[in-house]
Amino acid sequence: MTVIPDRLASVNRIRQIRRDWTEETRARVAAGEDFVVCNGDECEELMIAMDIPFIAINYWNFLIVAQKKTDHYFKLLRERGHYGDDFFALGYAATLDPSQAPWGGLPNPTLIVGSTRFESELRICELWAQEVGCPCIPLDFSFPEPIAKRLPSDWPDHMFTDWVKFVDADRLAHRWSEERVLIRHLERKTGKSFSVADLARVCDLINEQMSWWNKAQMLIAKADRCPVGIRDQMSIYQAMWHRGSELGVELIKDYHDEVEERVKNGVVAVPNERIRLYYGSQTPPWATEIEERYGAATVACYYTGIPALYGRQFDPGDPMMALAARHMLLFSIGPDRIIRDAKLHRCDAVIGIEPHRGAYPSLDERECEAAGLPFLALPREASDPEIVDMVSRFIEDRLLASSEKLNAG
Amino acid sequence: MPASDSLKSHYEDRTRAASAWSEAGGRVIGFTGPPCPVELIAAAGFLPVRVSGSPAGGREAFDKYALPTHPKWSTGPRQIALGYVNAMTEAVLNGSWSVLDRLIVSNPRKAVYLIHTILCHSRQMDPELQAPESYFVDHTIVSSYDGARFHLRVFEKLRAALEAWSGKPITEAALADAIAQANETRALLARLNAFRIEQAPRLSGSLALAAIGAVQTMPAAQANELLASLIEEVEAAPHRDGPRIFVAGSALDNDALYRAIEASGAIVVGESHSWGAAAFGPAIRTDIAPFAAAADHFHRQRPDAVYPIAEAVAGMARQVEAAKPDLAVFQVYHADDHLAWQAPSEMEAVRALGVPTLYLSEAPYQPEDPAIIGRKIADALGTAARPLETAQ
Repeated sequence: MTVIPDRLASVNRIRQIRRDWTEETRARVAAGEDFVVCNGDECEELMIAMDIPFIAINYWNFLIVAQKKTDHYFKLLRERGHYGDDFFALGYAATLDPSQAPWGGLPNPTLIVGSTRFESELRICELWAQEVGCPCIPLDFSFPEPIAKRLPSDWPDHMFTDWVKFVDADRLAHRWSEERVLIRHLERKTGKSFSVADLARVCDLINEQMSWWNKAQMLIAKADRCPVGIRDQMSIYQAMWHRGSELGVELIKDYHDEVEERVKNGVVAVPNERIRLYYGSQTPPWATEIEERYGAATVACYYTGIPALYGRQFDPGDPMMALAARHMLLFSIGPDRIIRDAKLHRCDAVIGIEPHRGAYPSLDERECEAAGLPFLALPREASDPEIVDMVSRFIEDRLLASSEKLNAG
Repeated sequence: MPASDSLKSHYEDRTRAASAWSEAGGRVIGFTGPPCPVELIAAAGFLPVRVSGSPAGGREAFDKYALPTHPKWSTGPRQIALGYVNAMTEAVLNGSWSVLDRLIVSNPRKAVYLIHTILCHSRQMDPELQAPESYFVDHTIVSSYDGARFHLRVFEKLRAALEAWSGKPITEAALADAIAQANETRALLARLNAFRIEQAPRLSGSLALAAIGAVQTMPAAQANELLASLIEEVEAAPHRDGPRIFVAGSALDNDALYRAIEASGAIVVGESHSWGAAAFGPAIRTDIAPFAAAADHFHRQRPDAVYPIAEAVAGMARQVEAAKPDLAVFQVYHADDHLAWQAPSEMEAVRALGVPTLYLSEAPYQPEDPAIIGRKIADALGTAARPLETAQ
């Protein structure tokens, strides 16, 4: 067994590429190129196919958070009468006061795509567009589309081919139509032409990239002990911003090859791995402490299973139909995927984040427990003493105790 | 019993007319508010009743069924705390609306249409759950040619569903009759509203709110009879004096704010929320075939988040201008993330008309102490600019 605590080379590369991309994009728009502001997973492929620089609102907002400007901008928004400290509004707030924003603020976008994902988002996009004097083009029925009836529990296995069965047909027709309207706006505003062939190529590259990603994840899931720590698994996620490009495929193929190499060489991420956890968010903020104390490795999380769900079989003559369906339903929310991924990674337990928990167990908890996966609901994402204590007691009472009993038996 | 008392009684007990209808052998279909083709439901022979919750309704069933199954990522992290929607969900889940044969869940906003999702998931979790089966009536945010076609498909699917539930086709004559009755309700409500916006109002905002709410829970013929009697009552009522208040903001399914305002000596002369004068929308066209007219009306009904925001703001300004208030009170509930981003723009437009505004932001769904509301109103009026009439 070899222990390599260093980060994966592919992870280091993507981090550098993101820094370069940021600078390049900034330079392009500063030089006067059109660029678009939109929410993630709602229409970026259209801009990729048309080679229009864009920024995803959630990505931009995370840059603002990373620079610790959240308090400043929430205060500014409250002064304008907007209460509720909405993460989605940080980009809009940065436009109101660019002096504190990353890059010194964004240049004025050519167009903002109005998100209808959460209830505040369309209004925030409209206010943003008003502020900079550009159009706001909304799209109805943005992901995640609530579904009236739960999908069959094995839906992740069928999303690639059977996506049309999982969305409402009338909604899909409408969304498809609205995205065509968006293309017309993009063409008119930028002077660039849209090509179906270009979009089909983007979709092909996404499928290829996500296929490599899924293969890498399967290697991680099936290895005797977890070869890639959750931090690196999440860091490589930044390659998602390069989906639909040759670079995106290259990045993830390199990642796959590196994971394969680690598995072949018996490399493990947590040397004293005794317990395998699934975490219902990104990297657990308490991961290091819990790894060291209990040998509890977080081997998978809510995001590690998502890349595989981006792939869609599509009609090369109309790739936008499959894409529009994915913009409405990237994946179904609920316990099915959690249980599937946790079992696939041979996890001993699932730790979820449930800030609104009441007296009754959530559906996630109920179904995980029924599937033999002990479930811990944390009230927040933090590594404060209360949370670490909750995780510790859960591991000691539910996981170690039972394994000791097992050993004793 | 005077019509005012009868309407207030129906407002207090919103299942009363439905229970009587059901006891007489009729079938009742609840709906969660506009946008919804209510006349089509009536034409199919059902009693359409607008469903609501109540601040006093508790949250036991919500905690048991809705909280565990709530698709938390679907509306935003705060939406799960939106009180009036949770109260409606609670009421549907706890059996308060057991008189319903079915529930039509409309799509004025994501938080509301998730009631359908929650009901479906809750029933899967507990097949014994005694809650009405729900049917989803979708709507777009963006109004367009494609939106009109989408709404027509939604309308036709609902028509087919209603016909399947009743076992008979909806006739043109039945729909024309339902439209005529609903248009009469609209005309009567407009006449009633005139007593509120006159210089010295004869109708209190509380009674107007109760009347508008009550008539959405009873057969149209009964509603029209009561409204006609109420108009006669109000015609003979004394004129009132006091500061004129316009209420905007979150949907008010109860009259606590109105009572608090009017207890302070002011009068609510108008409102913009979906339980107020705007609940019925404009008259349905009668110059085209009934099905086309009802479908067109459904298409023109707007969701809570009217796009673009400029249209919402201009609409607010028009309503305030008509009501000629001394003060506009914007009450936005905690976690009403759609209005939290709209109200500041609306208030700016209202102030541009010379009407001062009072912003009750992040307000709790549970009514505040009326004395506190009264003080806030008085403070706002004390610093108020001239009323609109004199400002112009």
